[in-house]
Amino acid sequence: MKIEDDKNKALIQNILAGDKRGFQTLIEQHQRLVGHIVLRLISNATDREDVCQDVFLKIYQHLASFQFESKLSTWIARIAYNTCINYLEKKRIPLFEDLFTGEVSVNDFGDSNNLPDEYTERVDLAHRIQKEIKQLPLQFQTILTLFHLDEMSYREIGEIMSLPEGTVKSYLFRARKCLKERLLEQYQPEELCQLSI
Amino acid sequence: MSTQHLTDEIIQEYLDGGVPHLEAAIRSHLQSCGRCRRRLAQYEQLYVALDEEVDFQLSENFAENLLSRIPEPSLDTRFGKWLTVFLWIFGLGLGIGTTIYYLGFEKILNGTMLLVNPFIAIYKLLLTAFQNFSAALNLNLFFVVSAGLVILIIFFIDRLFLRQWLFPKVTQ
Repeated sequence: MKIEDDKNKALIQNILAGDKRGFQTLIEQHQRLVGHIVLRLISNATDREDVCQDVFLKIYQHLASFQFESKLSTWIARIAYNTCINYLEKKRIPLFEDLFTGEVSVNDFGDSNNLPDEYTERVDLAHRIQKEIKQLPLQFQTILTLFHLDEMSYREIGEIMSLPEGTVKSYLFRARKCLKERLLEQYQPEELCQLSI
Repeated sequence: MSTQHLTDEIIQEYLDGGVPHLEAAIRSHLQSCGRCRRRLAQYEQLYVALDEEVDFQLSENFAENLLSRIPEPSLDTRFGKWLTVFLWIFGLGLGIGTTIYYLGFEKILNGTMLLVNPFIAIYKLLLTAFQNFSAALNLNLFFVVSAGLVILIIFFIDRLFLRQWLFPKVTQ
């Protein structure tokens, strides 16, 4: 952690001194994280790359104000999350508060009878789960991604999304339970246990 | 633990490694409960799938495109600011030195005094007013007011000049 901080400090100092290649390194180190957040929150594929560019431009403009009060990755993820939320508000796309107001029910996220034909076939579970995740509220999707793919803690996710740690944990558990129940609607319990992915 | 089925929350906590104090009891329960073993296996499959990398790639020249949108570093960087300060001091010194060389020190001094005299007069006036004011107050209050004034002056100098010149803040 200390070594990582020192490396990041040196990198940021170089960027602030005008080293554009240093910023390229920063982009390469964090584009996966930013990509995960943007992928979850922006449904329009053609807008995703533009949003990613906006995120990194904001990072560049505000880099001097980063005071190492949190990890650099947490700070970057927060900018990415807020940029996506601003984008959704601008496009008047309903946010999670509008979509989700109480307990999650498996029936809240689409009708399994209307699923495409491919759902009736035995397909890759990971691929199917990605489609199921897309049916969840945006907040749940983001938490699942940050926890499982970016290995962030409840506290870090809470910092990024401005949520208490307890809420992050509760949403994460409910999202996974909901996903499991959705899959059980399509698979027999034994079948799900035996699936290889 | 051994008679009741595991809840979804406990299974998830167990897989997240969040209940180290319960792990032995959970393992013991799982050995004797087929239903909970199946539910654990379902969650394990789900976790494996959730850990799979998502299919989203930025374009190959993403970084290049982005860098092309960032303007070349100008003198407005930290180094540039120091260079600007240096150039100001150098220019000012050169200007004053040249003027003294051509006009002579005495003329400059007389001219400067003409300019400075009104300020000295104002300063003396303010000093007298302040001395009268302090005499009207008792010693402790005078000390407090003086300290306050010094802090206020330092604050203004810091806000107006030092911070702006030496540590330019990036606008958010």
